[in-house]
Amino acid sequence: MDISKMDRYAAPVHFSSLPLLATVLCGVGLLLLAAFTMLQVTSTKYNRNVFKELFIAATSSIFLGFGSVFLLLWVGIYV
Amino acid sequence: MRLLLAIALLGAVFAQDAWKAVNVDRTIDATSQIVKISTLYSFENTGTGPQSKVLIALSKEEAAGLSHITAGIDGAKGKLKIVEKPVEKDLTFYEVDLRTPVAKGDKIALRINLRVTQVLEPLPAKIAQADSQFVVLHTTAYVPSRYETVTQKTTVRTTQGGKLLSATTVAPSKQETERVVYGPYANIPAFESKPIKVHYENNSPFVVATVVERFIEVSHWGNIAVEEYIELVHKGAALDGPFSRIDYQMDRRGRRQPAFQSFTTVLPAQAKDIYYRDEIGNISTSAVRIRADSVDVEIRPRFPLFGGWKTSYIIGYNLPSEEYLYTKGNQYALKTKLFDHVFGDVVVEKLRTKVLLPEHVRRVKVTTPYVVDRRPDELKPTYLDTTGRLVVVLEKSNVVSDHSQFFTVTYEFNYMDMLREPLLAAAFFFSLFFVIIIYARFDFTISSDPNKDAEERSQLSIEKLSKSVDSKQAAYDSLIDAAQQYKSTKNESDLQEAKKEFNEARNEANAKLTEKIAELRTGAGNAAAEKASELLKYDKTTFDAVDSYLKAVERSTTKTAGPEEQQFANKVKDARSRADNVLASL
Repeated sequence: MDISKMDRYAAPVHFSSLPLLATVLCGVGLLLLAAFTMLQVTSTKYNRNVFKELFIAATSSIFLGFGSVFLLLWVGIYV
Repeated sequence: MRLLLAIALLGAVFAQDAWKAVNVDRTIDATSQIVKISTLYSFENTGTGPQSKVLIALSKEEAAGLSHITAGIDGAKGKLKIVEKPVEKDLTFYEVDLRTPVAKGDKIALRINLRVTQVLEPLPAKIAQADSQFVVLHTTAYVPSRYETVTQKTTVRTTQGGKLLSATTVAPSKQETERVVYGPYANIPAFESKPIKVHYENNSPFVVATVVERFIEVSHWGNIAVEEYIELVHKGAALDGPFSRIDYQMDRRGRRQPAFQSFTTVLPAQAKDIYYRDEIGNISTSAVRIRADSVDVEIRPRFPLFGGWKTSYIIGYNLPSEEYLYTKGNQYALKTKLFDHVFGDVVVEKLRTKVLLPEHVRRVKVTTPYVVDRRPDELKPTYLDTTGRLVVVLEKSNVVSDHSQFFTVTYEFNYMDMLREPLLAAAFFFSLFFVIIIYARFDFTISSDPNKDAEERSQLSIEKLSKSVDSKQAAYDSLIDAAQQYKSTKNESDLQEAKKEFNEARNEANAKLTEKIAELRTGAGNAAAEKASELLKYDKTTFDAVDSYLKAVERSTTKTAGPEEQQFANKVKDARSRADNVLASL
């Protein structure tokens, strides 16, 4: 394809919004991580709920996953 | 006989040169380490018809060190196509395509530019620190030519203010302060050669980059990281004897010493996060100056480079992808420099440009402005990669500044693949969580503790009890709501419906409670169960209250809350607090 007919490629996330994204996403992820820890510490052998645990773990890891990628981009590791 | 004559005539036509060089004016600029030869040819078509191809000859030395060659019609813009031809009588030929044919008898002026590297021979080969560097230029007095030359002249430019030790005389030739002029010579036949030597002072540092490894890492998150690993060797006259720092500092020649002191690397205007370091860390002797259309990095190596000395360093910077990356659908094109500025008059022995593309790219195509050697693709795993990124490796030897041109890498990439990296990170975190979830389900206690076990079990029962109490309370509340509603609407069926629902909910909750209490009896013993059964006892009185309350509601005609209502609400509240007390005491 002819390069003159192509558009300039812009990043999906602008550099200036990386700090906010990284902080917010990592923050929410860490809060959920804390909730997960609380749940693990307080629950006993008889009242464990695997679906609740899996749900909190999944949401937390999604937030932490995106947050850490933006954190890497923010500090200059362009993945 | 006639046929023979025809063949003889045809032979004669081919034997005769198609061109004649009417005038050749050559300038050899030997002031730096690169010999820059600029020749203005004036050719006349002496053939039988219009022609569009002409041969340019290069001597053996020129051909050996040739780095870059361009041809153009004098006074016109645009470059002509050049094809290398086989060697003939020690001369290397390049065929220039003139694009538009030249009619018989017409003339054309061609400008040929050559960049020849590593042909200047230092003599003496070793000098002391205070000495100047002298080099010998080997060339020919006559311009190498495939055709007969009518008139020609060669000018050799030597260093400004430098000494000229000797130059071969080929009459008419004359030595001037900064140049030696050979010619004009008249009617030199084709393939005629007259070797000459010019021995002169040349203090420009003969610094050669033996290796330039250029990494261009493309990130679709909006960045292009460029890093160059450069090894420099001073290939001029070697330093003989000791090196004295004091003599070096006090040298009155200043920057005109044959040592390599500092240089300026010109980076693109958008370059940011620039770093300059080597194996042992950051080199602080550098400065960045931001110009209107470039970023200049003034680099001073850790030590000056004298003849035979070498150094290596890494320079890197980031560029925004908007300037160099183009897209249309899933097609992407990277357009960037194959080789970028290191310093003026740099000679690179081996250039290796590596382009790191994102993971999962397909159909990679490379278009270069000149011939390069494309090596087999490599894979490089870096951050958040699974299989590794595709690395396109391009190699070229004998590179000069004129090779600093743009090249294009086109490839296909699925935009959704951008999500792969964050999802990979998320999967990593989830696996950690999962390990904890699994681990928490193992029991590592050596001896069982029945008391603790019972406590945990009753804890669970009490939780369930309180849940049942809560649901029963909710049933009462909804019944009160329904009664209130009835007061304003007087809709009998609605009230009956609510009553039915309440009864169902209450019965269910009571059944659950009874069941839980029985469970508790087996788990935690009689005392607790006894207490818990009180929950049911209070329920009875409350239920009786509900009945009378509903009757009162049906009887009442006012729309406001009557005293019986208040009474009932209090009773429900009372039952609740008593239930809470029981739960707490358990």
